[in-house]
Amino acid sequence: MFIHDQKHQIPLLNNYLHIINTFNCEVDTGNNEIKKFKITGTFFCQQNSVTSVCAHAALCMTLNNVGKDIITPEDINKDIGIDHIDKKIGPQNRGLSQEDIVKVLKDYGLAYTWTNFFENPNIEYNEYIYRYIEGRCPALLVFSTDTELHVVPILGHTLNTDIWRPEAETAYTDQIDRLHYKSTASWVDHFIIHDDNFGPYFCMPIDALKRITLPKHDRTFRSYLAVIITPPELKTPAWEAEWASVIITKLYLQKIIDIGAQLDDWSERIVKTESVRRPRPIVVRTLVVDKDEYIKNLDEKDFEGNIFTESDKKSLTKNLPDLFWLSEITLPDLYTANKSKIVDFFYECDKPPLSNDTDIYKRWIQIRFPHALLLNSQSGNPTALQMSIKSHYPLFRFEKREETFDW
Amino acid sequence: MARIASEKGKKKSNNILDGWQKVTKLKLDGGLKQNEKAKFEKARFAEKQNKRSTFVLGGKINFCD
Repeated sequence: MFIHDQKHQIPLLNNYLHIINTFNCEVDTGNNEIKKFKITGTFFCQQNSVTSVCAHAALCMTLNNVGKDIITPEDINKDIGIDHIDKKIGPQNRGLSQEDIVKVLKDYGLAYTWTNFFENPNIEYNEYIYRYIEGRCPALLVFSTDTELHVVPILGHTLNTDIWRPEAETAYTDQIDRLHYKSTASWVDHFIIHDDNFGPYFCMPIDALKRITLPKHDRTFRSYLAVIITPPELKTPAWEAEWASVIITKLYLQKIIDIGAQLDDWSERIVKTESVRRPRPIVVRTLVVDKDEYIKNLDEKDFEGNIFTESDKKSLTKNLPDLFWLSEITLPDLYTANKSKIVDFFYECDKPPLSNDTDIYKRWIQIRFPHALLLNSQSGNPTALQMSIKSHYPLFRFEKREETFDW
Repeated sequence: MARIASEKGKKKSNNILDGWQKVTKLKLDGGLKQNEKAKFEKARFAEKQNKRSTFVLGGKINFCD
């Protein structure tokens, strides 16, 4: 937040804090009066390097931003059996093991998923984290220093809609295949973090922890692993939902072309965007969404002023589970300028990782195109229903808990 | 004019829906392309590795070559 010259606070441009909470605060005025008030923001705390390390601070910050009761690093120690006599913690001893983390999260009714970027250097750490943080799943990012691993909680991101790279990379190379698309993570230039060695609300450039060298040759100051805190029912990985959305949507669009049927203008642009001399990428934004929040987004108008009818809303929501992966498929200018999308692709989120790649054809729930909704069926063919939305439609937004200032 | 435009629009909508209804009756090509299979395989391998290994948050680096 910064103070505008008219003494009015407005948020920083294109700063999106996704992991926030409202905290009940009290001040004893000293006159036998307790003043109560609320602060909406993100919790920050530091390690003391004696009985707590960065992992305690990061975990506390994360849990206090999603929970109701405030916990301290010492609460975590008690939970995992650290008594500072027989079992000690601190920089000379150990960090928090996976077993410790699991125990603490279980007590909070939370689950997690994680990946190691040293063992899997082909995974772009920012894309991995972004798909979860965009759906308000907190992330703990661990990176290497010269001698240690440091962990910071990721609370949100900034956006730069003028970034040249995503479109230039597509136009100036010839790598076009079905999975050649750009995640909206490509326009995220910083993660917003708390670093307990520095303070709250720092903007960490994505590129600060990226290297073109392999980890075994260049180990210092790069992303090491990420732990994502998830609802217990979230089991399907984000990459699977996103890749399925691109493959299956493109398959259906190609089928329409093959049979010579009419496509709406915007879906046609998706098909045509890549088959030209200087192609432009399709853009995909994938995030985990709950059904109630999705329903709240059905009251907008599309670019032509059309709205969803009550019958449309019923069709769209009757088969939806309480939690699902939503992939919004769009084009670069629609994303950066209009902040709108063409296609909504819905995918199950409670399935275990794939044992068979073609299971992606069973796991999609429905696809909303302009003019039509395709509903998948486990037993027969999908069905197609008419929709009143005929053009591009505003991107999904969570209910605002704090003001944002969008370009 | 508005009525003609509205009828044209309705006809377009109906044509588009017809197309989707025809396509949903076709069998969706179940195969992934070779490069897609490779990408899926890499991603699934990464997940299996996670299940076999463990992590520690914070502390000294312990790189195993």
